[in-house]
Amino acid sequence: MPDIPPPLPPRLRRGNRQPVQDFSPDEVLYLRVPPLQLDEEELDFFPPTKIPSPAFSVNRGRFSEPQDVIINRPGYGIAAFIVRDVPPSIATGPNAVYEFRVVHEPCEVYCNAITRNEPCDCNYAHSEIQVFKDGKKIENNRVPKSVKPAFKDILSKKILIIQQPSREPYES
Amino acid sequence: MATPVPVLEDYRYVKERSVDAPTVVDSAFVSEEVDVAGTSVERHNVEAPMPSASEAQVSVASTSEDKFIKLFARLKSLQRLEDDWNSYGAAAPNRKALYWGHSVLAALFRVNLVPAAISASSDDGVGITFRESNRRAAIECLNSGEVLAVISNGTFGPYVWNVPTDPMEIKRAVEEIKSFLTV
Repeated sequence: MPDIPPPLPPRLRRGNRQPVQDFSPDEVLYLRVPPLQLDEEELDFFPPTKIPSPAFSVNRGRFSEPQDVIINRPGYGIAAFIVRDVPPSIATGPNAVYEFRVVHEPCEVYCNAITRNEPCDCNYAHSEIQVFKDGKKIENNRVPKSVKPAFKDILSKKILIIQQPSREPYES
Repeated sequence: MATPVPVLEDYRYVKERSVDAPTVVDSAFVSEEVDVAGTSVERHNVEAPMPSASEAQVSVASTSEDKFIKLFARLKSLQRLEDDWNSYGAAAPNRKALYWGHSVLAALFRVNLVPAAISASSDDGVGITFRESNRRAAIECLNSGEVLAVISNGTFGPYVWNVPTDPMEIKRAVEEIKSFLTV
């Protein structure tokens, strides 16, 4: 019988709270660091090649605790950066400027509770680093491949590992 | 609005290269790739190619040799990863990524440039990272068959360029990264 994941702690449940698109430049954002493979050395930095490319999910520090990002994720570590660490934009040419924004999106795509103005148990701290071109949001597969390493390089200089991941098989 | 960070078009590395250069892949590798088209399972059963005899004859300090033995083993262990290994939806490295990752690692061995880390890439492939004080570089060998390189330091960059998938071009990119890191 499959394990039933424990419910989110009350601080994370959205209930009927609405998104808040007001981000302090100093607000901390959290993401997961994947477990280390058996032969992988523990590093004191987050390799840029491992940082997810936008769009990717983070938890807002304003509405969550660091460990909330690894609920139901045994072996994972925690990394953090602040809102102002996100590069405002990256250009690949005079008419190709890609902007990055942190967007508070508590509900998953399949949950329409917010638009129906109903309460739900989605992760209220959930946000995304999203990409915009000419003011329109674009999906990850539309972001040029040259932009992604640049974004990850910039963020890697700021991001901190605040809890190291475990090694596989997961250490208790 | 803040000034965008420039990425391409204005750096000597980029000017020297054609982003649209045709992909050159070892013919044996191509035929293998065709055989497994559409099968995701076989990726995990593939042995990464080992260094050739000529590569093994390269003379470097034994400590570096030890490091590279571990690095080649590390690259091989990436085959064990499964899709969504990072929980953010990244695909595990496929044969193309492992092939070019091996090619990059062999080139690094030849110039005795030890990377700081080898891991899977969040953009689907193999990622190789370098750090030398405030100078950073990375090479990503993607599942698509593309190879991207990036360099930066505290005052300029990042600069990204597409490395044509040709052993000579990879050697050249590795030498340029070494030069950048050791200036």
